[in-house]
Amino acid sequence: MEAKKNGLEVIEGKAGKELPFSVPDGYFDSLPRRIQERCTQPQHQQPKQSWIFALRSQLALAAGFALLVVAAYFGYYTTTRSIPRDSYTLQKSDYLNIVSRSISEFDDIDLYKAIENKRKTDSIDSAARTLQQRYFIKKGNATTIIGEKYEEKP
Amino acid sequence: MECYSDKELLEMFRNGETRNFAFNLIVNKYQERLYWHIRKIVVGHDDADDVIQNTFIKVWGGLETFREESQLFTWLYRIATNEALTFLKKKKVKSFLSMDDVESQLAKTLETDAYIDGNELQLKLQKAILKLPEKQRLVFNMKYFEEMKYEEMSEILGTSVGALKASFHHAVKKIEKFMGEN
Repeated sequence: MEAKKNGLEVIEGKAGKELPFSVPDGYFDSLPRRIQERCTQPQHQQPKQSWIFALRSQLALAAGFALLVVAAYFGYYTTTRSIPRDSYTLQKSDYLNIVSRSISEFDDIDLYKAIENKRKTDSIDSAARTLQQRYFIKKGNATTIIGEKYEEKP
Repeated sequence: MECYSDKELLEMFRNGETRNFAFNLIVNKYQERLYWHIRKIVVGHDDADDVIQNTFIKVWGGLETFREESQLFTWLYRIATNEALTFLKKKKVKSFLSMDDVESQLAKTLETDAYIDGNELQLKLQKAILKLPEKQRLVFNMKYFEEMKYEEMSEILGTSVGALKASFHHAVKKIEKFMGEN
């Protein structure tokens, strides 16, 4: 209570209780007449407003929202298309990164299984054949003959 | 001018022959108190002029059905307060402003309105009041400037006396701090 009184005293001591407002000369003499005139004059018939006019603020808000959605849609697709396709394909460096990150997750058994699987799909014969083909191509020999030679018979 | 009680004025208003005369007397009796009450809420003179006219137009329309469950002046104050607050809300909607922006606009009016003529400290107090939340602002104005009783304020604002006292206490603290800081 004491604090409140002190606070009030401080405010009153600084600013007093007078308002810093004024009115035009003779304002309160003319106000009753102006009010009386407005009260007793026949009420003007308000022109009937259409529902669009009545809902103009809501419609403006809805239109703004729709515009935002359209802008966001086009913005999204523009930025998506501008990304080059190459950026989606893995580069050699990416592969190395992935391997170096995931190599620690392999244990001996995984490694053994991987080697076993490799053996099933690859063969030493096919590897040798590929090497031979490359050699002949490099030396300028007739590759068609080589191709025919190694063509698998049905 | 002969001084009539509120009860006499209401009886005269209900009599068709003296209706306009009684209303004129009611306007004369309460216009200044209501004007200054409104002015403290809307700050600018032109806005206060609009609001007080709208207030009395509402009074004219509703006085016929006024059932004297509360005092006439309490009823008038309630209408004036509602009209002033509605005016600020409309202003906010029209200008797409938040309530905070409306308050900063009111603070600008303190510097630009033609009918502001207080000293620096009085203006500083008004700026401090404008920084208060709406309810605290109303309570502070009614208690500090109009020296209204809490019971009357409770009837006008529809808030308990305890809550009003708390609001006033908080308002005083904030204003004191603002005045000290600046």
